[in-house]
Amino acid sequence: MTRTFNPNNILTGRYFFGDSVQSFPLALTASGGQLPGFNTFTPTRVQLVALSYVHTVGANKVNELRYGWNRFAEGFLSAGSNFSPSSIGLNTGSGIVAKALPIITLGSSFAQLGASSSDPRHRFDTNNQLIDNFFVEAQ
Amino acid sequence: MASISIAPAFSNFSTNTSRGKLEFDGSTLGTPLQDFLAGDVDGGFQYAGNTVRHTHENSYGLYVQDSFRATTHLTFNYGLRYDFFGVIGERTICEQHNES
Repeated sequence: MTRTFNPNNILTGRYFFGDSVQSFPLALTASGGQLPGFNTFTPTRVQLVALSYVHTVGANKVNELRYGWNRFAEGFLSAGSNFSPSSIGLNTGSGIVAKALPIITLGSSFAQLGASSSDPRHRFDTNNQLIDNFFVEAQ
Repeated sequence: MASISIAPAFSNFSTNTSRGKLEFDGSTLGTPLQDFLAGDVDGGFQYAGNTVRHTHENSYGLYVQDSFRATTHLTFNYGLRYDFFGVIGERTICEQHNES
């Protein structure tokens, strides 16, 4: 997007977003189940905003004001997060922690049930940046 | 040219091992599978608590640059930059106060 108010004032902006989902089998972080159905999947969204305002101050002076914003959001969720442990008599609490099977171990001879112990978790990383550039050309 | 940048970065995340763990080790009926099939839990635990964190950091920079053309074959380019990296803070739990 570019908006030219006049030859001395120009505003430019852009927005971008991207989504991805990965699925990690075989016990992510080595603490989850190695059986099918207990993967960790990671829905991810990245977003970016960039704005630039160029103002020509005079014949030898130009000012550019920039603003940038980006966000990285990613979750680590158990596969089958719609499963309710309470449906099999396990009361594990409420909210997102109660939407996947807890870890169940049968000694050391059986593969454990349930996804990685680090699920669920989520993170949002946001960065804001403001930059001003002022140019002067000696005459 | 002069440049001033302000770059606060906020991040928040939650991590926990709160789904819980149930252990069947066979100490009740003899084998882990027997305990599992009988529903005799031999041990377990579940972490609880608020693990959400909101951390942030503000940083500032100032840069000044000039160029001087001494002759048609010689040009000097020089600049000076100052950066300030703020202390990481936490908004809700474990509030961290700036002491620097």
